Amino acid sequence: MFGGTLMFNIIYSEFAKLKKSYILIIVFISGCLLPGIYFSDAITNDFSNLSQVEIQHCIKNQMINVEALSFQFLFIIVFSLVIGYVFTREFTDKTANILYTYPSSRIKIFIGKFITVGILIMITYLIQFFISYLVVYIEFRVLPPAEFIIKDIKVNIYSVLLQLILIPIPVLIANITKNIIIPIVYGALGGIIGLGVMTILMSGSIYGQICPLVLPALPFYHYHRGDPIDYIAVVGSAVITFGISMFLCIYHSKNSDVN
Amino acid sequence: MLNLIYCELLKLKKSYIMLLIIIGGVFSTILMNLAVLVVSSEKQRSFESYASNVEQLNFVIFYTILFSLISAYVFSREFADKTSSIVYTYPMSKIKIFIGKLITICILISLVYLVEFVSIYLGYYILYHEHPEFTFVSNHIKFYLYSLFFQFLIIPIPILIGNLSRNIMLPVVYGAVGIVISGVHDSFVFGEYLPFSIPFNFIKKIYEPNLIDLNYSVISGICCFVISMFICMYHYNKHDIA
Repeated sequence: MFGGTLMFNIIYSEFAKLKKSYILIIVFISGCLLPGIYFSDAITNDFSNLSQVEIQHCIKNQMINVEALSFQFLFIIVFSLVIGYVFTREFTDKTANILYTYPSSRIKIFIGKFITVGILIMITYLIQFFISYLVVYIEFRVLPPAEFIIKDIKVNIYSVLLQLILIPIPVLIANITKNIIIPIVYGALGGIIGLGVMTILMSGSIYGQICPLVLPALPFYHYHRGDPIDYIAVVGSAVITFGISMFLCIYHSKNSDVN
Repeated sequence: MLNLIYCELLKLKKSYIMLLIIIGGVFSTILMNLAVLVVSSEKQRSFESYASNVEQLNFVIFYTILFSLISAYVFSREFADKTSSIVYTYPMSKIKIFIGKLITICILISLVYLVEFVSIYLGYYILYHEHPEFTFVSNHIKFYLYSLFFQFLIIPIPILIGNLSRNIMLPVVYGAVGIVISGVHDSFVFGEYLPFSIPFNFIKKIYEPNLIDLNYSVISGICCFVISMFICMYHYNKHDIA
């Protein structure tokens, strides 16, 4: 694909840079956090006198709560932190000079970092998916029915793909400010806006779908709650968000000064 | 001591912290005003409902992260910018440097509270051209001061995490974890004693005086301060410089 082995080397070197940082721990914690909280809630309750139907209801509730909170609130904070770190560590550790002596163009380095972040995001989703089913199995000794799991896999895959659309925004902020603080603040503000939009979506209105920050949570609303999706607004906001911010990112990373 | 605090504040001049303080104070009010103007069905709101909504957004979500970010930045910038060897050549003991940084953080947090307090009244005045009566305002100020004091008491926890990891990231993750845990804290056995929601409990006391029991908050705030401050001091005194 993108220039054969060279691209692979760039991604490999990005992962090697992450080895000594806290990023992998953070990815692991954020994947386990919400299932863990609901697990610690559930072990204090007694489920032995519930019927099978009630247990299935409990399980679905728990899975849906975990996904709603993480897609709409937690992940935007964690991923802006990860993105901020991956893109600004070159400036804070003063290794930007070394980075641009690699025999590959700036665009390729940028895309390499982008793919690295994408892989980290996918790892987070995978961890959360498996941990939440593991937790459910430990609590109730039973798994949800197969069609629910298939639906859940669909929700997670669509959500990851839509999450990739939002990456360029914090990347652009990180590249312009050369600092990890502002991307984190973007994440926190995004979390607030996400929660605000969640109240609008939960009340049944579809106007909240215009906000691009809510994109990763839309598959959840569509499959688990059966909300209709306004495809024109959603596709429009996705394309505009990704197009504009990616263009600005590539333009900026091509033309900016090294230090 | 005054020189130390002055020099800490000078270090912040070129960073984004001052911008953060203004964003942190004003953002939720602007968001709330937009929501009232554009989305909400009820156009006329009482000041209590307006202010409690803004404060809920701020104290429950935003400030947990913002204050851990600020306190982690003030302490860990010495490691990130490799200036910690310069800090320890000041003719001061390590404890004094620590307390100077702590007071700097307290000043920054008080600024955020001040900006937020003013922005709430301004935002309400811009929307409805009214302001609440004076007895409510004095009550509001009193509980803001309590809340601010207890915010100071729980600040050593992110400082400790920042000092141990020498990094700005883990304190931010502590903030995010704190938000999520305080969102579902009713389910925990000792949920009332969790430190994350202490400052907001004091704010809630204004609007629901009979429902909130502050004893848990006071006990856990003081315990948090004593324990984490002790570990902080010990670690800051003993750890290696660079």
